[in-house]
Amino acid sequence: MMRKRGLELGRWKGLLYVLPALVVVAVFTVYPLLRAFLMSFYTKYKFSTDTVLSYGINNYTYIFGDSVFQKALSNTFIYVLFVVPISIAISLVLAVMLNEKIRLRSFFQTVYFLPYVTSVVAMGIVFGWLFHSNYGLLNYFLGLFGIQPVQWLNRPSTALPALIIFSIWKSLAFNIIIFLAGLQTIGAHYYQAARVDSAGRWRQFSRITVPLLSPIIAYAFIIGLISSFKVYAEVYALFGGRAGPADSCITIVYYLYRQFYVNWNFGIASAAAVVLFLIILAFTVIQLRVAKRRVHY
Amino acid sequence: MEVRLDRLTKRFGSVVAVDDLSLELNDGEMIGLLGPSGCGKSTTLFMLAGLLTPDVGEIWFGDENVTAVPPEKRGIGLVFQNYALYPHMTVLQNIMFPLINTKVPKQKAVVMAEEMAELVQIRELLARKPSELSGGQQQRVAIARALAKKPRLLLLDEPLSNLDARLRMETREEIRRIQREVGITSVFVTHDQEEAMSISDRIAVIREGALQQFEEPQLMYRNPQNLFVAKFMGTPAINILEAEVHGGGLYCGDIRLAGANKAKAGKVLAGIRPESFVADADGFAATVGHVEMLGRDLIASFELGGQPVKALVDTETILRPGNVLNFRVKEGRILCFDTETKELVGSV
Repeated sequence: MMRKRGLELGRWKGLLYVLPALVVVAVFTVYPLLRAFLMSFYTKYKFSTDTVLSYGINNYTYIFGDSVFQKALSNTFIYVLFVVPISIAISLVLAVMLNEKIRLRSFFQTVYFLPYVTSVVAMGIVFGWLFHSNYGLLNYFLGLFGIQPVQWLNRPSTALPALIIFSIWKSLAFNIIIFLAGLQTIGAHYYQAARVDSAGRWRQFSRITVPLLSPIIAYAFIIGLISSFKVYAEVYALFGGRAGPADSCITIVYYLYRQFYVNWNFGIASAAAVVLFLIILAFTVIQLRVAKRRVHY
Repeated sequence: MEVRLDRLTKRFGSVVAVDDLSLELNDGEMIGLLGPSGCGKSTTLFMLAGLLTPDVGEIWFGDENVTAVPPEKRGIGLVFQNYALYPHMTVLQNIMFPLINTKVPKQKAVVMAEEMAELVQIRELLARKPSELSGGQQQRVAIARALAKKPRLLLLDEPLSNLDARLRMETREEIRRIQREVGITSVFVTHDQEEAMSISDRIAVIREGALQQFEEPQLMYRNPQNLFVAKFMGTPAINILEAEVHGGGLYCGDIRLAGANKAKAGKVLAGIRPESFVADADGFAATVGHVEMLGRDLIASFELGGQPVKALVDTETILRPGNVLNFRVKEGRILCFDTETKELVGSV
């Protein structure tokens, strides 16, 4: 009896310790989540008095009928499809190169890490210049090969590729850092063994580095997917607050933002948020399933 | 294949890891590279593997100079101290890896890998991952992988140091069996003199990067070239006593250990192996201080001319501290070393 009471007491004591954290999470995460979910079903809502006049699924039917939301959905998917794998591939190669015993190694590591600690807005301005149709560095280089200047940021057809290029560059930093950390954990003896086993550079990379780094690569994929589905700041920074020319670069979160803060359609914004949440959830679950089969721990 | 190391020197910064080392290995011979940790034996092995390049000197495989040949083209098998099995591959994939890399067709590679698994007796483990194997099994996989591509030279870097004592004994016999069966020239690095003596055809003792002696185990044990080798070989260690040659005899304090008619008078260091003491009623008397039971033998500690000595004694009689024993030293078994150069000057 005594022991059981002691256990009970310990449990309450433990709960007491985590209570402050629980309160914070409840107030700032759980409550808004539930609230947003509920709000997505408000069809008539008086903001000034916080009274809901009717509930329904009209918000959902609205967004799926809205061509702007469809554009936002397809843009976001295209964005994720290009940014995540390309960024991971490039960062992997760069990380392997930076892990070699090269001169100025720590200098290069710092350079590649800089984007991570730089403000997105500042980078947006710089890339605005790089992409500039008359003075931009990118068009200058293209000009060297006789290619006509491209109106990168001013035409709907090139705006999304520009955004993707910008985002790939920006996301390299984080991936390179975690890949470098992962590479440090792969013992040098595996590479010595591989060399003795007559494996060339490429086979060392594909048969040793990639499989042994696969937990980190899977992690980078999940983090990349989640953050790319939530893309917003990059759009805002690159196009100076617009969603690209003629909304050509609108994303789900940008749509959500506009509905909420500009149009004051709280219900519609919440419905978009719920849809985004479900998409990310689905992709993360699929990703974890795949990782379970393919990743070597 | 004969292997020749010709005046190899390797420096790491200001540290000389290997210092002007020359060795010649006969075809099919098992060589033990023996020395304390940090003596340069692993460095020597890695230079043989091509993972390190010597600063000075040449390495010859048969009549081919391989000094500048990278490891992937050297045709060697290497067993790492920690085995370095690829954790994400199965045992079969591990053994096949060097074969696939050298463009052996997959079908043939599987057959060859299975043959290797047969040789090291791990057939039933082929589908497992290294993490599902015991240390001894991992060791066998590592040997199978090293031998799979039929190398010209097998290198083993402290292959037994991660195994427990009993398994170590078994595995060293196993390595010897496999090596004999394949008939491959092999180099075995170890810091354990017993291991080196039991497994090698010849032992090269290395100290601070320099070769001390290169000899068959029995001859090396019997005739160590210098004090270092003498002390390094054998457990319990050889007794080293300050002794003096005068009046045709070798004396330790007041005790005459042996006749030494031909020896030059003067101070020497006398090395006496613990097993070289024999009970003799006419010998010198010693009061036993401490007794250590080993099983078959026991070690009796006593003082000889004021200097501590350990002797192996049979277990026929019960020996207790304080007992008095009479000993002599077997004829010809006292090794005399120069007090300055520490080189062997003779035995009496």
